Amino acid sequence: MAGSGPAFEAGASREMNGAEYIVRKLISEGVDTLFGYPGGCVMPLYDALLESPIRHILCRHEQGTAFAANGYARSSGRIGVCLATSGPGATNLMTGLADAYMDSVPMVAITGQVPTALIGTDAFQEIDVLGMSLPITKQSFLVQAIDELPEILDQAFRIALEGRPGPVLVDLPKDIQLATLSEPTIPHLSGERISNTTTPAQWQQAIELMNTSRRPIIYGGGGILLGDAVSPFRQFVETTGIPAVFSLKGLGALPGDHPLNMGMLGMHGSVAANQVVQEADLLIAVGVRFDDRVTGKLSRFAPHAQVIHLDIDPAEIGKLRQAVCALPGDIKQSLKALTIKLNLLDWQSQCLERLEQDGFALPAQDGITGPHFMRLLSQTTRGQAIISCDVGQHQMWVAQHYAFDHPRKHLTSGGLGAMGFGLPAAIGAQLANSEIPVINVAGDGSFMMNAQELATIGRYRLPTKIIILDNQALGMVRQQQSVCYQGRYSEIDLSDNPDFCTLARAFGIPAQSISDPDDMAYAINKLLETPGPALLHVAIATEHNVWPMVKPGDANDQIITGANP
Amino acid sequence: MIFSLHIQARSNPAMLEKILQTTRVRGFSIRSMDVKSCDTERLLKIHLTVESDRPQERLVTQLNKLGGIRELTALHAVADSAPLVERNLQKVSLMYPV
Ligand SMILES: Cc1ncc(C[n+]2csc(CCOP(=O)(O)OP(=O)(O)O)c2C)c(N)n1
Ligand SMILES: [Mg+2]
Repeated sequence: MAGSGPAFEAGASREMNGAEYIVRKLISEGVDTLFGYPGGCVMPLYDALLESPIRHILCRHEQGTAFAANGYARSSGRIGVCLATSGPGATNLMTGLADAYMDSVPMVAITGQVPTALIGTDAFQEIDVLGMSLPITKQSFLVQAIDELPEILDQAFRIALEGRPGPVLVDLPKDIQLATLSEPTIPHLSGERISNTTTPAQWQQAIELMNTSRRPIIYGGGGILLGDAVSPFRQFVETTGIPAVFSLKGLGALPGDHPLNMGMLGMHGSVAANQVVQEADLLIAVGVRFDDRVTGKLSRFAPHAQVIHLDIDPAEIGKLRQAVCALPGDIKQSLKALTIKLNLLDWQSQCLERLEQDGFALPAQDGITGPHFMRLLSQTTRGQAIISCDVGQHQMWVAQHYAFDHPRKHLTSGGLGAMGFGLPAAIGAQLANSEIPVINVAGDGSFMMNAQELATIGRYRLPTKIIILDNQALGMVRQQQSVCYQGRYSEIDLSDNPDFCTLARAFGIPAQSISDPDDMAYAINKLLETPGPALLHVAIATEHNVWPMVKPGDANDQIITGANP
Repeated sequence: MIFSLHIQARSNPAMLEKILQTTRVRGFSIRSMDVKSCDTERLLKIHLTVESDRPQERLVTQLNKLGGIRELTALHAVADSAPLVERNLQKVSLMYPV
């Protein structure tokens, strides 16, 4: 927790206004960094912040603040807090909140609102932010009276972390920020997690299924990290010896070089990972939600498998795929209960063979390719950097070829797939992890969606590194047009991109550009060794696609490997 | 399939909207709805009849998660005119206590 000035001693109680109370509450919750952008309806809060020890990071767009808070939360496991004014400030936050909602990221967003008496009069910068945010937050509050403020803030911080985490929004009319709160006491965060709702009999049933299975596969996802279950998960895999495949958000739950790590499955998963799932007789689903990018055509996904499903959120179990054994609750406890020794030598060697034959391969193409570059980046950083991705082909090359040593190091907009995520999320991650190298891997299209945040990196001299894989196209859309629309390319051309190096330098960030594969190693090393921020522009061919691929709507066994595997 | 739900929810701003939104988004259409607000307890008492070809659990589990839901009872009917038969009574534990 940040140090506190005299006016902000936690626990002290004196008369104060709503804005001062909020700042005190943030401090008492251990919030050391706040991402925000000021405006009329949050003026009292900004005034109160002036004397506070909280580090306020001024991003250059509210979407930047929301993604930065999101990246802070993803990379630290702590609540990310962002702040915006009413109307356009609040609407600009929404994409970042939706992303946090889809990927279960704990966040608290505070938005200013017009004074209570003006709500409902179409006042200047009045928008129904509460209504707007309902489908993309875990819970939203409108503070209607100053007396409600302590309880609402307390709930907001509790709900964001409790059970399945998610974003919470608190809409704060300006008059409430100015109203006096007498003798406030700051309620304490309980920090309680939902206890396990699985019974020993259910664990027993799961163990019986595991004992009789000959071809079990673990399908792991983002819930492993969110449930703080990386160690028990690794123990579970080690002891049972069951090979594991992962969703995009599960990557890193096992070290990349672990012999039982079959890598990513699904639309751009490996043939090997998809194949072993299609052959499995038992699927142990850990913190996953059977997303369509994973399952392909659902009715043909893992057709021979019975499913054991572990998840904190009972609503996910049976939502898309029936589980013969449902284990709702704390996955850490369930994993521990299921950690038994099995004998699977035959199946393990079959899986390993598959992986050697049909794992992710490096393409035989000229010039720099995404896969070659990512593999080299992975080797150079030993999988230990925090990689904050954007959305598109480059995101898939990271997922396929960067061997993360921990899922917390992989920041990626999974459920929402929001271009523009990478750069601001990297800012948040860097502020939460000053000791770890943070690299934004961007596409040329995605980068331009929040390029203004170069100013934030420049202003705070963050040592964040930026790599733009520039194929002069909205590559992922181009690929789908190539595969599913007979190459009828529509609005994917970005050949008039700006000179990204000049752009970076305009913000005081050194930059260099490469296009020759022989320069890759030197450029990566130079990038990482540069003190402070730096940008590396990597020119790649427009035509290179991500392989393999399951076409949208196809079954995973209809996976295609492309002309150039 | 048509079925009914009895819901008791805290009368927060937008509570009703959130219930309606969840119902719509999860693929259930509303046949009828009756809402009474009980000021002394700051509660809404809602009787909701919905129709969908999706399983009832899909809606019940999602509604169950909403902050402010205090009690949820699902009733089941096979057809429009058939009497409602009590199927399962679940008292939802308080995730977000009042
Ligand atoms: C905000 C947003 N708008 C549109 C899309 C649809 N979309 C998905 S990938 C993609 C192309 C991304 O291009 P780029 O960042 O250059 O990455 P590349 O695929 O070329 O590596 C688009 C437009 C999206 N995911 N997010
Ligand atoms: Mg591109």
